Amino acid sequence: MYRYDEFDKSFVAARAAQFRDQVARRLSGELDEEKFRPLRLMNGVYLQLHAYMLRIAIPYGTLSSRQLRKLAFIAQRYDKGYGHFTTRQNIQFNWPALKDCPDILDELAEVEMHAIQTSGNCIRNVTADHFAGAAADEIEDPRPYAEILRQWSSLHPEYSFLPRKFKIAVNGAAEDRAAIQVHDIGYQIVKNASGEAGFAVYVGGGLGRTPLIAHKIRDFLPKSDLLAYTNAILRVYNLEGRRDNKYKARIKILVHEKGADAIRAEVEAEFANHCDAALTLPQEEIDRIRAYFAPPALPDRPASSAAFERRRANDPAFDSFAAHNVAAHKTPGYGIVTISLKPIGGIPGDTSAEAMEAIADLAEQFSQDEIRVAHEQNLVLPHVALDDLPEIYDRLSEQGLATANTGLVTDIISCPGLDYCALATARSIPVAQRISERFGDGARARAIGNLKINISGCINACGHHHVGHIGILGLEKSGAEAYQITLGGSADETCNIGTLTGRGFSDEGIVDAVETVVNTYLKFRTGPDEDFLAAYRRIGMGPFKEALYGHE
Amino acid sequence: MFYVISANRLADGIVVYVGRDGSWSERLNDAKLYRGKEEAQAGLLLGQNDAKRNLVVEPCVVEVTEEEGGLRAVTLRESIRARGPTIDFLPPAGAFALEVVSPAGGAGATTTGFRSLRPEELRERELENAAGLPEAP
Repeated sequence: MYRYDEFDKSFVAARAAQFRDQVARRLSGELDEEKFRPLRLMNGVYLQLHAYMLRIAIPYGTLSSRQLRKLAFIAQRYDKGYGHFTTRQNIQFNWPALKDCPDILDELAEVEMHAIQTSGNCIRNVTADHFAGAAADEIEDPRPYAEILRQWSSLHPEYSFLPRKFKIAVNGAAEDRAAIQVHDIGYQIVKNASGEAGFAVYVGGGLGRTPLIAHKIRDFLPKSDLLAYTNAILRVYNLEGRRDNKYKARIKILVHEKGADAIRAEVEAEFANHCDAALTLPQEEIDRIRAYFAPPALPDRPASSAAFERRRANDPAFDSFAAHNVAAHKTPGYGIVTISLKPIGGIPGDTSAEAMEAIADLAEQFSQDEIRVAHEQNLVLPHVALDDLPEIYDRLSEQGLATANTGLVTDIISCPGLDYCALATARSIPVAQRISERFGDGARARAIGNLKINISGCINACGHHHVGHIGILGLEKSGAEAYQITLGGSADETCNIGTLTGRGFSDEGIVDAVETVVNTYLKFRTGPDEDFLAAYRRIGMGPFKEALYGHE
Repeated sequence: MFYVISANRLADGIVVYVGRDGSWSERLNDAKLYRGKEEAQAGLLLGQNDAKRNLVVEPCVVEVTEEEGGLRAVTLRESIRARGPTIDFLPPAGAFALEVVSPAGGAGATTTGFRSLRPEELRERELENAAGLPEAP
């Protein structure tokens, strides 16, 4: 893991001290709300429906046990005993008092964490594949490059007041688990003809009220040019992004309006003018950062584990957990464990302080002291010996954390919605809970197979509903909640924006409608091997429309 | 049309209402009732004054109805602001203890997912909230 050096340490400490002074001046009345609002937002403090909300950055979703324990401590000491992991690999606390926020930032600084650039029109937390450094299908660990981008973009004077927020994701495996094509910039690590690793560059993706898929503007960027090229993209955007209209200010609108070819030409010209030594990454610097992310020294093990296989054969619940929540590790004899934060009927992404403590203990004992936050709102133990899985499973079960539903219909991504959020137009969480209860944890959910449901409580799309296989968008219609359904969305390398089925459904009707969609899939699929997305791509919207609205 | 004046308290962000004595209360049922839009606008000025005095932020007018149990916000958003999330969001008892029970220490099977309240539970919570509160004016 990356560790702060003296510069990082004093930088974060200075920032926390500065915010302490700003909060004191706000509370004393020296600063009014108009002056203070941008200052608190720059430190991740929002005002939501019921209270302030503090969003804490978890760079590329990587946490140590010590950091997760600190989050548990903050949840207990300063909040109501829980936190919410978000779709951008961050954590949010829903109830902190403003007067406590400086203390919380000091606590975070102790474990090399902060809330800088979790709000505002700047470069936000850089996200990455949550299986980075562990996945069997990985070309190269994306996190060193995410870290380089993080360091370069932190309080970057030229990019602290962009036209709008700016999100970068880096993926290093064949499978895109970082949803790079719906980011402002997506970097995909690829190899060129001579076997050298670099980046394919995607620009102009995003969800929100205008969902657009990114365009690939470069097939191969040498690693040494990562910052120079990012700088070129940001310069073009900073100059030409639509500052006149907040809703058209993201780079996706610029790319959409001018066309990918025009943007590519502008970026390349800017890059050619400025790819000077100042922004060229020296190999020693890349190596220095990569060293922090060196693969852990995992003891050699046989590729298969007798203890693991024996338990699978004798315990159907464990077998189901192994099938759904354990992914292939690049090292033989190891696996990657996804800890579902989606218990049946639960609140997606919410985690109690007790659970955080328990997971930190497991990571310390069994996973090289590392935890990952998935943008799917789950936690991950990235380096686990298959031999240890039975014990890990038992310990997770004791905590109610062994739900074997990763990737299934109940592994629902949901924004906080109108239960917390000041922008929301409808509730998301109760819909997620009811869908989860409807399909449950049994044979039916397993028979349905891989199916991603994403729910957003407003058009800002924090629940990424456009890229859910089934997407649900909550709106307000004549004073009541109404829910639209989209089908066929996908956030992976086959990225696609879902298509609206038709008129929306009431709060009462939405769960039945989702069940109708699922039953239609089950009726039309060629067999269990054809998952929902594949079936939808084959048969199209027709049968689903017919099932939902046919009687009208 | 009945209205109350609401805001969030500056120091901790908690939802508050202008009370009958002019101070800010966390309970909607304590709120001073304004009849008609003009009265509400006058009330909002008081709220804005308190925002200037750095007691509260984002003062606003909230439409309410008077019902048997007390005041009730008209919109779902304001109803959620008044009563809190509609979901059972708090972790199980014990999570507040500063001593953390280790997983092997017999904490028992707790769930970390907090379910949504059933209609009867919601009603119960409402009654609890209403119990012991002064009658609405």
